Amino acid sequence: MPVEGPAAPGGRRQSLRLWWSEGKLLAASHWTRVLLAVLVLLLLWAEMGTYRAALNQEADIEYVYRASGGEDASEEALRSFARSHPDARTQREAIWGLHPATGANRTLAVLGALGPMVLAVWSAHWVGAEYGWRTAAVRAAHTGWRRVLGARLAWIVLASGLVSVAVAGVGSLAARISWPLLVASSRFAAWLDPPDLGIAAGRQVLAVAAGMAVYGLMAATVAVMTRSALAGALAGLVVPNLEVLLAGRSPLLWMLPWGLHAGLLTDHLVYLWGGFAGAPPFAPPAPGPEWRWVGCLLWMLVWSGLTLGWSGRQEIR
Amino acid sequence: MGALESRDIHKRYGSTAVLRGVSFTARPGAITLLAGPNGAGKTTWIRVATGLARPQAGQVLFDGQPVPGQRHRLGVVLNHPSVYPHLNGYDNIRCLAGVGSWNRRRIHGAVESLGLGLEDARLRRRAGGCSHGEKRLLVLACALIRDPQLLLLDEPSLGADPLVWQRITNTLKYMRDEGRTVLLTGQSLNTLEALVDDVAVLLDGCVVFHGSLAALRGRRPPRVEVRVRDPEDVGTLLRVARPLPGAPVGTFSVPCGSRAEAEEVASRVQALGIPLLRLEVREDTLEEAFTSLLDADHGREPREDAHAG
Repeated sequence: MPVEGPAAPGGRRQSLRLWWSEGKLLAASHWTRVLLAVLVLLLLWAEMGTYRAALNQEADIEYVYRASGGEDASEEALRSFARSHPDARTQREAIWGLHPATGANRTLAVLGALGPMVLAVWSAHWVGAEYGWRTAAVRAAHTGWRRVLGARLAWIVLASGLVSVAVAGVGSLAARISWPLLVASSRFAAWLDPPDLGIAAGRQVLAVAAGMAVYGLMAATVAVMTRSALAGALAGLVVPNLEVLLAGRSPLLWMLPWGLHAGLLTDHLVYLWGGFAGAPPFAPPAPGPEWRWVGCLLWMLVWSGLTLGWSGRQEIR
Repeated sequence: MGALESRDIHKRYGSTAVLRGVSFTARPGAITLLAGPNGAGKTTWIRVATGLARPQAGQVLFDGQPVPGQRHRLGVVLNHPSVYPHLNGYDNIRCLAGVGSWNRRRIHGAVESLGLGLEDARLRRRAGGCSHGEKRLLVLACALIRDPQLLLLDEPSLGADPLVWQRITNTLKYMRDEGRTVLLTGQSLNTLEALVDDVAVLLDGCVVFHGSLAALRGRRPPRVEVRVRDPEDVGTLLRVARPLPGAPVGTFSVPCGSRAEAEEVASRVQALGIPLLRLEVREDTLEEAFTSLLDADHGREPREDAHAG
């Protein structure tokens, strides 16, 4: 009958073990699988949409060429027009959208638009469902609710990074598969100069992950404060849109999470003309690009501090 | 092993005072029952003791230290069998018991040694598909696998079938014999009577009795209960006994001052020579003692029907 129970909490090793077991719990969650599946489907949709748009440029290039006064209907003239003429920018960049050099940029742009909401719903459920199942009380009594939440907040931040890396990888891989297919069936793809985005993929990943983490932590905070996964998820869906509605009403709104997220996206992602994902609707200017990083970090600290502080005083039913 | 001390706990929810200065001690090596009617504050006390609720005043100490600071020595079973519905038994134990680094074999071995009858096949099933009783066993396993020095159980007998309850009681007795401190709440006093050593009775947020089970049962003197077959004999019996309300017709009770007196009364009744269906010297059961205690605290005469066996 006597078994060796858990060791006294507090050590770094204990915290790491707790963090790791929370990660396993996260991996076993249905919502993790569902939302990852949703994300994969969205990426697939974006990929197919980009491919279809790129193929459609064949006729468009000819049309724009003639509309801009081109008379020489030879292939060489059309390719030259597509490669460098300003009037053909939309068509050229729509084709570039599938180029391996822009693969990660493309999928990260999709993630930048949808990721904060997806991560917010997922975080709110992961934290808030514990109240509904009443497992929070057992976790609080046996492990300490603040410790459990601390491990989960760390996972939310890490998950935004991991998802961003994975999505960038998927985009890069998908482009390597779809670009040769496009080259084989397009008259222009092979003749275009390769695009140069001029931004390291690592910085792009960080920019997307930072905004996602802010919204994930915010949704978790609301879920903890209200003891409701639904409230947290709704906050994650509604708050970004409210922030967009406030856009332009004050020069200080760049400090709001959406202003920071949108600013980081426009600073670090290239939104190609004719591309699948459009630039964020609201990116107010910040005093300097580094301030957006600082702002994101501060919001993460604010939400984490609120969650941990609140959980230490919370009565759990 | 340490004692569990509840020191002057006050807890209010809004304007409602749920606990009003609750003080008692649960000994190590004993099973203490925290009894009380619905709404007396038993579950609130457990929540305060485990740190799930913050009292306005007072504290609960184990071994001289606040309980929430000694989580690694604590095992808790709350009144609702809370499990992760999408996880199997093994993963539930890992998370809820706080033994995330244990592998399946180690958990299986530990659960088997608890003697709760949770087999490998059950632990492999998703907890959401388990019956209420199976979930209760699972949460009990989560508490026990921690090897707690202090075990707090809120209504452990709720929803447990006789076989499950027997396993639970065996395990709790083992823990008591090991010198652990065990405190439980419950309403099925007849079921719990064979298990507990000490009793603390809560009424309207106050402790109205705290002591051994024997002391609670001995608060009222023993009595002789007698039942006659022929109503004609009632007149004879009325000289020494009075009817027992709520009991079958022809049942009488004779309150006595001591066990010796009760035995003498029983001899006298027997000497009357009337045919008897039942003649018994009785002491209060836990339930009867509890009921009489509540009646007395409410300023009423103890209900005679509390004695009905």
